[in-house]
Amino acid sequence: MTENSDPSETAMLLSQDGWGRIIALIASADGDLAGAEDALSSALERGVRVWREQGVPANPEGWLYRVALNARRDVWKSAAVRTSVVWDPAVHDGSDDSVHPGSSVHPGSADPPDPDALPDRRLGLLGACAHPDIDPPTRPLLMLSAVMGMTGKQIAAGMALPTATVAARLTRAKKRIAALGIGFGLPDRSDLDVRLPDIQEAIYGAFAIDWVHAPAQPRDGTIGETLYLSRLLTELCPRDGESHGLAALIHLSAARFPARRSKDGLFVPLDDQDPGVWDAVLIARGEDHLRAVQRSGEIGRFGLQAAIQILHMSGVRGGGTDWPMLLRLHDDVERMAPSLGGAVSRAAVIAEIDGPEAGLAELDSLDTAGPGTDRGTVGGTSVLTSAAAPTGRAASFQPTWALRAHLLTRADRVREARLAYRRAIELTTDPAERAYLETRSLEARSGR
Amino acid sequence: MRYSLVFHAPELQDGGPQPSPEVMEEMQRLMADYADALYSAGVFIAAEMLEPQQATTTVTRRGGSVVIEDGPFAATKEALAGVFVIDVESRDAALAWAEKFPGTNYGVVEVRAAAVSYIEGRWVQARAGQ
Repeated sequence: MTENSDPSETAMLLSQDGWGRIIALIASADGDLAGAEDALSSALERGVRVWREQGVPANPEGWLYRVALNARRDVWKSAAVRTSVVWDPAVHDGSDDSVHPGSSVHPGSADPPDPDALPDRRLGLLGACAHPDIDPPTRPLLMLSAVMGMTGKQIAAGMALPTATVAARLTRAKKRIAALGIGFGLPDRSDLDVRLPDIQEAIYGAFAIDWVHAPAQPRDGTIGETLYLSRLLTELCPRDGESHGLAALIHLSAARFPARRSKDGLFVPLDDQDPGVWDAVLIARGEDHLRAVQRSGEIGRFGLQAAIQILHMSGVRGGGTDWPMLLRLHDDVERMAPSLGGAVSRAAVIAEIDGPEAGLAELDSLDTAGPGTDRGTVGGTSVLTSAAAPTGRAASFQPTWALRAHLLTRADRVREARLAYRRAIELTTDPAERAYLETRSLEARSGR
Repeated sequence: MRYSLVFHAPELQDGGPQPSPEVMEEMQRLMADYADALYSAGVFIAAEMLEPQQATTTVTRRGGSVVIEDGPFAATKEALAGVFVIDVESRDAALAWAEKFPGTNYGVVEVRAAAVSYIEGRWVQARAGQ
C-alpha cells in the first residue's frame, strides 16, 4: 500500500480479507508480489478518487481486483513486446478466468463479480511467504505485507524494527520470490504437510520475538494482524489440528495482554494477574480452537502450549491448577520441540508437584544432561566463575535465574536466592521486568 | 566489570543513497530508548556515536616525530561508528544488552571487556576471571 493513501479511507474500501485475496490472485500469475502490490495500491487510489464522485460500487473488491489486474496485464503485454517472451494467455491470463471468463471487463461497468466468487489463493500466498528460500526472520514481515497489506512503516512500528531495515528485507525477499519463480499455486496435500509447519512458524514469528537472553516476548504492535493470520490459516485448513493449536495459543496469549502491566506500568506475572482484565472474547475463541484441536485427533507443539496456557489460566481464575496434567503436557512439548524456555517452565511445574528442591535439581540438570544443551550456540563460550552455578546456555538464560531465585527463596536458602536474583536482574534488559525482580529480591532479603 | 559495545556499520557515501529524515529520526528515537534503558538499569557509563571517518584526524609518533594527518587510519566500508561503555556483572549481561542495540539491524556490535579503565582519576585494573 502506498504511504500517502489515507489508511482510514482505504480500510473503508477493502475488508481485512480483501488485500490478501486480491494480491494472491494477481501475484499467482507471475510471482511478482511487488508488482501486484503496486497495482493494487494504484487501484485503491483510483477507487478513492472515482468513488468519491460516483459512489462506492456494490462490490468494491471485485472492482479493485479488475483494475489492478488490468494494470498488470498492461505490464505483462508490454514486457512481452519488449522482450522475446511470448505473451502466453495460459500463464498470464489464466489466473482469473474463473472470475470473469473471457471478458475484458471495463472497470466500473455493471455486474461486478460476487466477492465470494474471487477464488481464494491465500494458502498459496502464505506458502510463498514462508518458502524455505526466504530467510526465516523475513517470513513474518512478508506475510504482514503481502497478506495483510501493512506498509513497511506500519510493520516496522509494530515489530519494533527500523523502517529502513524492514523495507530492505521486504524488497530483497520479493525480488527473490520473483527471481526463483516460487509458485503461488495451491500446494497439494503432501506439499502442504511439509509447508504448513513453516507457515505456522512464520505466523508465530509475527506474534512473538525470541531474544537469546530473555523469554519470548509478544509484540503488541502486530497483535491484531497475527490473530487474524492465525484464524485465516484455520479457515484455509479447517481440519489441521496444529493450525488450530497455533490459533488457540495466540488468542489465549493475546487475551492476557491487558493484564501484563499494572496501572503504574509494572510487570505483573501470570500468577498475580487479575483474570477480570483478560479479554473474554479472545479466551472464548482460543477455547474454540482448542476444541478443534481435540476434534482433529492430532496435537502439535503449538496445541500443547495452548493447552498448557489454558490450564494455568484456569488455575489463576481459582479453578485449581492440575499440576500433574501440566507436567504431562510439558513432557510432550519437550519430546516434540525441545527448548530451553520449555525446560525451565517444566522445572517450575516439577517444583509445584515435588517442592522447590526438586525444581532446583531439575534446573541444575538442564545444562549437563537435560534438553536444551544442543540448541545452537549462543555468544560463543560463556563461562561462569560462581562455583555452584551451571555452565553453558542455561547459565546465560534469564528465565533460568528468575525461577532459580524464586525457588531458592521458597526453600529458605536466602543467601543463594539473593545471588540468583542478582544474576537474573543483570540479565534483564526490560525495565518493567527488572523493577519487578528488584522488588522480589528485596522481599527475599527481608525474609518477607 | 566494564564492557565496550563497539559498533561498526557501513558509512553513507557522498552521492550515494541517504536515509530520509524520517528514518533518521526513527533511529534516533530507538537509540534514545536504548540509552534510557541502559541508564535506568544503572549500567550506563558513556555513549558516543561518531562522525564519519573522513572527519577523522590521525596522530602518530611511530616514526619518531609527531605526524598528524587528515583521514582515518584505514578507510573501510564498514567503519567504527560508535561506542557504548556499560558496567555490568558479566559477559552474558553485556551480550544481553548488545542483543538489544538498535544498530545491529544494519551493523555489527563487538562486545569487548575492558582490560584497564581510567575511573575518577586513576587507572583501575579489571577484575580477572569474568
